[in-house]
Amino acid sequence: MKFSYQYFEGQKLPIVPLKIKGTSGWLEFNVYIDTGASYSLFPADAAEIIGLELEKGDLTEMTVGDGNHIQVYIHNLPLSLAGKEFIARIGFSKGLGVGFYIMGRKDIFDKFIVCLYYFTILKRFNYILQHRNLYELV
Amino acid sequence: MKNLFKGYSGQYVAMVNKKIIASGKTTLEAYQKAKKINSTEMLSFTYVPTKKETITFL
Repeated sequence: MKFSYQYFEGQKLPIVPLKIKGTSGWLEFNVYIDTGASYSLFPADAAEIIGLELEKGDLTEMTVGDGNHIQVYIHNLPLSLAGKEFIARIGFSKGLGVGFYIMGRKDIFDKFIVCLYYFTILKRFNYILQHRNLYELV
Repeated sequence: MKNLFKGYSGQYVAMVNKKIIASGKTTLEAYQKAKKINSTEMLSFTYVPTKKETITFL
């Protein structure tokens, strides 16, 4: 599946729609693809609208770009990306210093081949299916 | 897309069918406003960056 870059203030940003299944149904978040991020991270208040009790997640500490550490609560959530549904660990933090919803590698980049074609403004997602212990590219 | 978000820099917007129906300083604020307007269809959230935030080192 291909996605176009999204333009903000004259810059094209690698932002794609990611659906998360909450207690009252699916919600869509336009997430920034961050290949340098270990986990996908959302601001803490997003947990509330998904219907999660933030502090019931697994508490962990993560290092952010300026060297500081933030506390993150990790939850296992049903996601839908590029038409494929799967479970992934998503982090929520009160200390996230950026406004973007961040899509990191954990539980996502092991399922998709992500190609960023900056100059042709395309992002391509190929899903890898685990089938009889073999991986197939579809 | 470019014009759709004009005037929303630094805010979170809630959309239904690619139309902005609410905005706020947080996702929660945008959500609460949006639910009062449309409580049935799937909401889509986007953070609209400021000009400085479009050049990132994440």
